[in-house]
Amino acid sequence: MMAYDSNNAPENHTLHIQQLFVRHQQAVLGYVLSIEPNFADAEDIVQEVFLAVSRKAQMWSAGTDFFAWVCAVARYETLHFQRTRARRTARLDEDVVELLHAAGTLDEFQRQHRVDVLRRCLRRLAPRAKELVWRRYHGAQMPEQIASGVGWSVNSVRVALTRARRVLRDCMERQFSAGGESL
Amino acid sequence: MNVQRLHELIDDWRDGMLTEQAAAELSQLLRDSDEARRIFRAESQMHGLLHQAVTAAAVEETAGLAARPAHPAASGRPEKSLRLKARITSRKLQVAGTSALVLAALSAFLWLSLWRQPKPRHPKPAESFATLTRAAGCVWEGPTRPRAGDRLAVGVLNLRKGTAEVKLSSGVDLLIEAPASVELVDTNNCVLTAGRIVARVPPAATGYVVDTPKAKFVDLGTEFGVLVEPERETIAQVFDGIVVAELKNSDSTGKRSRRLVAGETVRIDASNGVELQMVAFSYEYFLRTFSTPSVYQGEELIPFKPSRMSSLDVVAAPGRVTIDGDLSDWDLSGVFEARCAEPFAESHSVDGSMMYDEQHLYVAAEVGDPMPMRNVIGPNTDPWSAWMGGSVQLRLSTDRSFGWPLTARKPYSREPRPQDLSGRIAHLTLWYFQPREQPCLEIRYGMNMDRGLVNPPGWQGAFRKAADGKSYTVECAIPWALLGAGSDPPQAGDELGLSWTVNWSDASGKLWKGQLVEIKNPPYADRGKKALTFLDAATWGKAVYK
Repeated sequence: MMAYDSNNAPENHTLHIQQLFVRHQQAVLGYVLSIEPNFADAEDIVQEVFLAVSRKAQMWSAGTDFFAWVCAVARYETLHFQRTRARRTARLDEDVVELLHAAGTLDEFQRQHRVDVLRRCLRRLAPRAKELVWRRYHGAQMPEQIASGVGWSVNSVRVALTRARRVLRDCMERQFSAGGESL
Repeated sequence: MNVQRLHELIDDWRDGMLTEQAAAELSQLLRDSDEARRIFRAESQMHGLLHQAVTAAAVEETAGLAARPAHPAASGRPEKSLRLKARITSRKLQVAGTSALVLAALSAFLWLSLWRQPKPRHPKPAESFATLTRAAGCVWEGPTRPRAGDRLAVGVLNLRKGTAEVKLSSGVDLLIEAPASVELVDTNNCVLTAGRIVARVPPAATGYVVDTPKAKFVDLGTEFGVLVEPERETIAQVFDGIVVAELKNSDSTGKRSRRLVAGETVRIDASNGVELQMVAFSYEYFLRTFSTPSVYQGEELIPFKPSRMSSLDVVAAPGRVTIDGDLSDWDLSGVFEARCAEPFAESHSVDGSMMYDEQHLYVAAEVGDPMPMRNVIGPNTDPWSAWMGGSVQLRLSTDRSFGWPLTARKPYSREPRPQDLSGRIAHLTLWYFQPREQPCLEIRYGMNMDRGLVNPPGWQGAFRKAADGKSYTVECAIPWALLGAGSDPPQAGDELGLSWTVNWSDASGKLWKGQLVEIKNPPYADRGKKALTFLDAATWGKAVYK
């Protein structure tokens, strides 16, 4: 359990940072999930990121890209978490994770644009596939839990989820192509 | 590069199924190939985006909003967007999101047509197809007056008092709460004309229908509750899975069906007969679990007690506070003590305290509980039900302009007032998720409670079980920013709305056994006033900041 030092009073700037963070919390979680796919671990990491940005609040100044700064902190905290506290022992080598994510990430606008497009595509997903996606990403259920809930085999659930993701990706690509963009 | 193998490994990575060997193989693939890295980046990014998209969709569907600003910069402050969502009426919805509604209606139609086709609507019923498995305090009216263990066939059950559990041969469980009138039609259908019913439907019985005068509620393998108050309203809540509400009359947007997912509530107002609204999820509408007779005293559910205290002193923190479940660094001068009525006075109690400083609200409680810290309801799957597995709940205001008594209420059909939707009114649920040994906090805002956070960054909590296993201590620190008061926290002299609820469960950690509600406005101190703290903030007592 981490001790909290109530005498170490944050200034207004820190409170502002904390409020900004709460506004971006879901996007930060989405970013962390791209590095650490386990929902429970990712949520723990977001907690750590919040504490880290609170500590480092003075390093950010208004007018610069808050989300990019938080993602940089989140990447560091995720790697640290995976080194020290992750539940699963099998994971990608650290140099590979650095290689994958060193190039930066989507900016806030790009990310939100993709989320909006993805939501439109989700509405077009077949009902059963939609239910599986909903259970996986809203209910944070693992394939075994979903299989138990819908009466399928685990493998069938995994295959169906993979197929659903492919359908969503194709849908997104079509929409981006129509708008002259690429994923 | 073997692309198919790469995708298999990525699936394993995503699902937490990578072995050491597979992790090494995937690492090498990614190290060696730009294309492999491109594919992995796209897939891993999709994993995070999907979570974000589905979460956003769920939140906005709950508020009945099908369209949203395309860019976060357009959404304004969270409090503002909450207010906008909650104030949306069906007419505004029609104007704001016609195309989205068409898509949603089409989706609902396809959904219904796909899954309902193979299932006959009224299969020939068996002679008897159900069993009254449990009955507590049941008083029946009419010709059918079953006792626990009796087999049931087609017929109407009129339950005047008590709680009854009926199990159908298809595996469907129905929990009926009096006063209620339910007609058992067959293994796929029942008709609820009055009262409350909670249906648990296993996958094999998917498609079970609870028919009411205003709508049919069709399950998709789930758990949901339906409340019918004749001449007033019909409410359905989905606790798990998906339900389709088929309206008998189309709503003002012309829609005849609405798809509901876990956490959503739909209310059909009886005044106009056709208007369908999405209203805030409220987990206390329904008794989801069967209460054994031991928690009844006469007709009253216990452990329970009338409130005796109308205020609690919230004292200034004396200095550094370590959140570890040890209250030796607390100023406990503001503590209140409450015990349930006999025969639970010794076993079910709470000593509650609160402190504050410029950054945090501190809450501590020592809870007498024969089944301490057993809650198995997960923060990621069903946080709105977590109160049932044993919890401490606080409802509070941080806005001194609201004064006391606080006049905020859950806005039903009337236009909500600003305080009804305020982000400075918060409902906190603290529980210990036993499977992960994790202190948990859920915060819901406003009297609508349609916006919330679970285990938000910045909060800290600790639980500690007593050596004798008969009580536990919970201690937590919550930043004022999470209570809508980051820039204007309460100060000495403030008197703000506050109420406490302690919930107890049985040994399973998920079946609610009773509660104690304390710190209440004296006119509402006992249940006879028919006012509930989660619906009406006028019932709350006050926090006096010292």
